[in-house]
Amino acid sequence: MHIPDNYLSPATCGTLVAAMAPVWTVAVIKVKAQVKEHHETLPMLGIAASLAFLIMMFNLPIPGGTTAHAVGGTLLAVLIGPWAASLALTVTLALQALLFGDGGILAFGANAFNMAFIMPFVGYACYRLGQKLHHEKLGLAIGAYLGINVAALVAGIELGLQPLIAHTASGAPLYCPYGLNIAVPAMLTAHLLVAGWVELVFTLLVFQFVKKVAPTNLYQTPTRTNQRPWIALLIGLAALSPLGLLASNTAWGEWDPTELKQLLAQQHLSSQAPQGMVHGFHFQALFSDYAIAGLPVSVGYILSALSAILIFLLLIRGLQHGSETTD
Amino acid sequence: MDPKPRTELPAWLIEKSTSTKRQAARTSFLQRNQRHLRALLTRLAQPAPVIAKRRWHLAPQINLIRLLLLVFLIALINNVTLLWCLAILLGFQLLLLSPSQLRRFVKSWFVSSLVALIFVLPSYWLTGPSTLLFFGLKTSLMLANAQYYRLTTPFQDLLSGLKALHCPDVLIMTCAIAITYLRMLGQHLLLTMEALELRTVAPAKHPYRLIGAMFGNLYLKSYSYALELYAAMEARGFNGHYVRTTTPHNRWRDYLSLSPDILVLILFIFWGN
Repeated sequence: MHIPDNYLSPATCGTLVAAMAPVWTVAVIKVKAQVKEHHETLPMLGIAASLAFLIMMFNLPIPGGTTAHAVGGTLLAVLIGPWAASLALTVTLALQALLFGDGGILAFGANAFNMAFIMPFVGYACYRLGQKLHHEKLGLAIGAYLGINVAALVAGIELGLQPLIAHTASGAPLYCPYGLNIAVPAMLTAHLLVAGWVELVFTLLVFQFVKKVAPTNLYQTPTRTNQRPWIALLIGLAALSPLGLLASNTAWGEWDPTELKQLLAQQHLSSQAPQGMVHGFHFQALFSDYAIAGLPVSVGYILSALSAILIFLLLIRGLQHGSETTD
Repeated sequence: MDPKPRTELPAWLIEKSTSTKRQAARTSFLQRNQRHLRALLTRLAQPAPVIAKRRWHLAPQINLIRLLLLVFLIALINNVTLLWCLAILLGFQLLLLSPSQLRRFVKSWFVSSLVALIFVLPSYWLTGPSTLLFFGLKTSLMLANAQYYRLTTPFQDLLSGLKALHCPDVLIMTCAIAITYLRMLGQHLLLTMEALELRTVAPAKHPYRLIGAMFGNLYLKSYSYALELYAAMEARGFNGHYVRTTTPHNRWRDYLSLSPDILVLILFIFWGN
């Protein structure tokens, strides 16, 4: 999954470095906080980076006599925490690119985005969900499989977009020559059929061993977190929800048949709206367009946002396992 | 003196072996991994001797910036003449390498370029030979520059360069620890595999269980290394900052070394593709 140089355009590489910059910043801040509680985290980062290096170079036997290697993104996230794993994997990728020629120097941001961000975080999210639902191992297995496959999918999209965004006047691709129709299936097939299962089995067996021998050495998720910033963010977003009303036109693709008919006529494309849309299924929602009768539209927006937040919070609360006991 | 009577070998030793020839057993995954690991450890134990630049010793950060600038330029430029200029620039730099270093450079550059070409070879039937040729040329040039950097820059210079470019201390320290402990963990893993091979008579029924235990054990070992390392760091008065002594450099020389690349960049901007 290591993308070499010249497969991605400089614009894509730059965008992905920019996308990774906030992740690295938050990771450094989070790890510094983690170091205050567990001092060994700091040297552990470096040692985990070398562990990730060894995992990536270790060939595992697969049916058919050939071999494949795991990445260990989800495993590291579960062992040392997702933010620390993200930093450790970033360092591993940097060393591989600069010292061992595995993965590109310019494509470092893209590789870090796929393997040091998507993979550990998707894997860890599944693991935490499994833990909450009392199916820790199942969560980890799904996380390991999903983590590597989502990362492969994103890598496939990054590669497949190149002929669309970087080509000569005659249409010849300047970087990766394979389009989405080839790059995505090629990346996904290999990972869905082989690499994903290798990652799953490897992650699960190492986790099982560590849990059996030294369960205290596993990363403990901080139990008490300050929820105020999240609540403030949600309320803030709800308050800002009518902001879109400042724009007078309808959002692109959200036209009703009448508006679409007018637009098509303006652009001399057609004098009628598509028949499928006119005679299609039309559902009349309770609060159509977030409007509540008798109230200004902006108040309707805010109320709708608050209601949605409340419904989702209640849903999550309902799915959680209660800790209180009954006599 | 009478010659000694010939010693007769026992009958069972004279008999020809009746055992059937066994086919060479397929190398197990453990042996294959041992071979890779040994190669890595040899490389880490005896790092390639870097070329000593007595006259033109550049600041580490300048070396790093040059590499990034060159790779970026090669990725951007689609003009064959400008790419040719960059190749000539690299060629002059390669002249400074010793013959053995040059041979190593050519070998690893050729292998990595071949791997890149194999990946893109099917595009010949999709887009024709020009894309394949152009892609191959650009990728080879990038790989050559990266390989030259690897060959001429010690690891400590990479860390100094990152520090000079204001990379966070946490990341630099992680890099420094990672490269040191890569050797230690690799050694531990190699010894574990050798021990397993010696103690295993029949092929493993569940190789994955074995691998799980091996890497689980390796993680626990790395945890104990981390505890020991932190105790040692504290004992040495660690204050959370990565400190490296910097050697004085001639700034004019540093800037001058960047000038050919900047010249190509200017040509690219005004001349374009």
